[in-house]
Amino acid sequence: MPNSTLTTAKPTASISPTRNERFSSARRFVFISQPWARTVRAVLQFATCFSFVIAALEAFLCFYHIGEQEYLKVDPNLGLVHLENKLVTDRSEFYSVSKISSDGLCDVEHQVTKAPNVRRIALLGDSMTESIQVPLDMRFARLLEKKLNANSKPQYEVLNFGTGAFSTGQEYLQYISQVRAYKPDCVVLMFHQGDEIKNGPTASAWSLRPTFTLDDRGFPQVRFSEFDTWRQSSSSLPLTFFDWGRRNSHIWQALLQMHSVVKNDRTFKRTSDALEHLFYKPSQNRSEELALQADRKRLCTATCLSEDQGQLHPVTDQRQQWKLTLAILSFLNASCRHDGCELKVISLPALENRSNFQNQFKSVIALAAADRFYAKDLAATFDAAKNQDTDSLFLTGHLSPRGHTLVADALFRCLK
Amino acid sequence: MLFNSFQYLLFLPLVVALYWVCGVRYRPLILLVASYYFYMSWFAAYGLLIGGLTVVNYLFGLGVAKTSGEGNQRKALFIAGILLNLGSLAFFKYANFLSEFFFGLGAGFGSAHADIPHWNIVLPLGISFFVFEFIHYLSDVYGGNQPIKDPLRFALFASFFPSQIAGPIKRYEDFDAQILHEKRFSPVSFNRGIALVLEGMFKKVALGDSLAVLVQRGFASTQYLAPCDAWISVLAFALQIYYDFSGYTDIGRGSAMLLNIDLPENFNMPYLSASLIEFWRRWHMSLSFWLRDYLYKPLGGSHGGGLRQNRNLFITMLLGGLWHGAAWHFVFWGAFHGTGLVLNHAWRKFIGGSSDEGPLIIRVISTLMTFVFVLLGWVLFRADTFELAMLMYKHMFLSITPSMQAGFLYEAFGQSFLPAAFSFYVTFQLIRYLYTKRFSNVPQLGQISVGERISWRFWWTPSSAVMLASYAGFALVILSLASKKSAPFIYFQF
Repeated sequence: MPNSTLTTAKPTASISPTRNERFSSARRFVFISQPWARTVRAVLQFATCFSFVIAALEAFLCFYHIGEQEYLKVDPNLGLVHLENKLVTDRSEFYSVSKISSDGLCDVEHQVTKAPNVRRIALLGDSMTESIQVPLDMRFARLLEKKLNANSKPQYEVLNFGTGAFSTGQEYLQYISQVRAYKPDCVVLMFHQGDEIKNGPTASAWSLRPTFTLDDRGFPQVRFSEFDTWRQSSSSLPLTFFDWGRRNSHIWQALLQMHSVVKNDRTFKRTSDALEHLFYKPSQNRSEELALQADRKRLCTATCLSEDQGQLHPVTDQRQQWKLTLAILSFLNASCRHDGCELKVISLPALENRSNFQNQFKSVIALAAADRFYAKDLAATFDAAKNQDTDSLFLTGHLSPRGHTLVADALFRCLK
Repeated sequence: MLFNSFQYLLFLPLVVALYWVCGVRYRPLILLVASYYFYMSWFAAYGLLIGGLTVVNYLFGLGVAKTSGEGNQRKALFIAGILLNLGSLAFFKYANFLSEFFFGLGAGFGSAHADIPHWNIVLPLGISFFVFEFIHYLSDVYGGNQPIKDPLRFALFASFFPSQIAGPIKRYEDFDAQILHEKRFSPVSFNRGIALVLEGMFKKVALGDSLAVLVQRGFASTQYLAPCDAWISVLAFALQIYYDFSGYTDIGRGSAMLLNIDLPENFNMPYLSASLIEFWRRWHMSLSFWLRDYLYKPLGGSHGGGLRQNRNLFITMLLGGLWHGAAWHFVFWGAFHGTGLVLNHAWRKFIGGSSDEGPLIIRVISTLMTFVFVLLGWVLFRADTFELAMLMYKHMFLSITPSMQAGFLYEAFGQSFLPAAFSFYVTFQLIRYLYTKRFSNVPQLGQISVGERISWRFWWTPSSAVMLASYAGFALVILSLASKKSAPFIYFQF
């Protein structure tokens, strides 16, 4: 049986349209059938549909925390530092979702102004201290604060300034430009294998940071020339191009992850390099350059370091690297003492070539005795725990949750 | 060249563009050159092997067809052709396996084990597949079908790049008819082709490769696995091999569809089979049907009573297992499935029907039982040796390992993109199901309201611009969810 509503209502509308209706529909038809109009319609359709797809995909990736791995930005004075207020999901060794604080710390929010009767402990270090691989509550900085404040009202505040791939020299620059503003009572430098190498230029990633040299008197000097060359080249593009996308778009960040895969593909490497060159526009802003130079001058004055413009021989051999590290530590200790805080240097165990690293670290302990700061090697603590625990203390290259607990315990003992 | 490589992303559009731009008579030549380039990009010398086998089989085919009626000469030619194909397969794939087997038998009679010769033979990619296609060709020509007389078309049948490395195993009548037929560009086929290529890519790089990490970890540390870990590893492999192989097939079929050529289907939701018999009609269908037509039936098939049928079934599956690889665990996998099929047939005879025809609950239970059986079979298939397979069984059923390996589940559900990839895939399949269901019921436009008509035009008959946007979105999903560790296609080793 036919549907009466449909069969009766429709013909009236379609069989006898008014004169105006007929005219307008005919005009519309002529308009739509124009080739350019068809193209415009297709473009509009594509744009609408693609926008919808992009929005849906963004929401989908956000729900699953995919495309949230970008968290570094280029700082012309310090090297690669954290993006502020950035949600980071790390899947490289474990699984963690955390947020970088508004001050760029891999930590909870901290006020710059210190509350009365609170002792502040600032942790400096590289990715081992940054601990982006594990959830925030499992990191040794948080565990240490909990332990220190157990059984009493909060009187200790632990601030985690750890930044991935930082060298000792960068940590010194960071202390002067960022950490001292928080007025810490104690600075704990978590020393880790490789920090000493990164002070001077290394073969792999030597240009991603300011490096250091030694002058004739054995004083450290900071050198920005190689870092500036990298910063102003197309190689820095993945960290500088479309900054909004790196901060906010999950799709863009997911595509950036593929960038390294593409770079390693022999067919596409050239295309990728060519595209980088195409999109790269060197900064020509003279006023920005002048402001940066002034900024660096202020930093050099504050750190008592001179700027090496590339005249000095870069530090590459192991003996010189340790000598440079000791000189930087000495400068850091002097700055801490000047600010009225105490320096402690704690060495985390090396993953490979351990005996050599342990031997070299003895020179830091000797310097600590001479310069009156505290230094300790945690290798023995880890060795003892390794024999007792069944759980691994390390993930692939960084501390496991069990390793973090162990470091927190060891730091607690050192600080108490 | 891998289907999931960046090179293929350049190669495929180039070939498709050339194919449609050039005249009809040049198209087979373009495809042949492209196919040889595709094959020889692995290792140039491989081209000689496939070229040589193509020439010989072409001549044998013509020879068999010409001598029709002359009984013994024809038979001799046919047998010589089959032996040549099997001989090349045996040499490249089974030489070391056979020498170890026979010298091992000799060792039992006093020969020294150290004397077993071992040759460094590089297995040419896809040899198992194109040798099976040649055997099918010779058998059908021997059976009375017309051979392909045009050498160019015959060479293309053997080397067609979308199915060259890991199937699907084509039938020459179907394929040649499509090449002969003057092809016109079909937007429908082109659309389906793009969709299939994208779906295949997704299955491979987002699902298969992510699962591969988990599988690798589980099977590499079998001795430390708790029962739960062992079951997760095996389940992960069951899904990995399905997504890996069906992903490959989809990319191959999709690539062929872009050229308006249909390749046979290989998978039809095999894990939803309610019996093992049904499973083998839905899993690697082109191989199953080949084994049925060119091994099981020539052995006698189901003629001659239950015992002979069971024997034929068992031998077919045993050889099917050996076809997958020159190792004992593949032989045992074949025997495992052979036994399962024999039991399945016996059960059907006993109940006088099949379980998949019963009520829903029976079908669900049968499906679960079939899946568990197949899952147990995959242990034999995946383990590197028979001993490791036994160890995995031990850990699945008898292990008393107290706790799970640290981070195993994290790797499964946290570190990888698997939860996101699976949820996307399920949603995608659901949308496709609804779309297909709706599309199969095209309404009479005069009988629906204007609103419905607009909705119909927008959603159910999308324009090229809308389709293009959807494909771009799908490509973005693939790039976003792709595993960072790429694994080679599992079936490439066969």
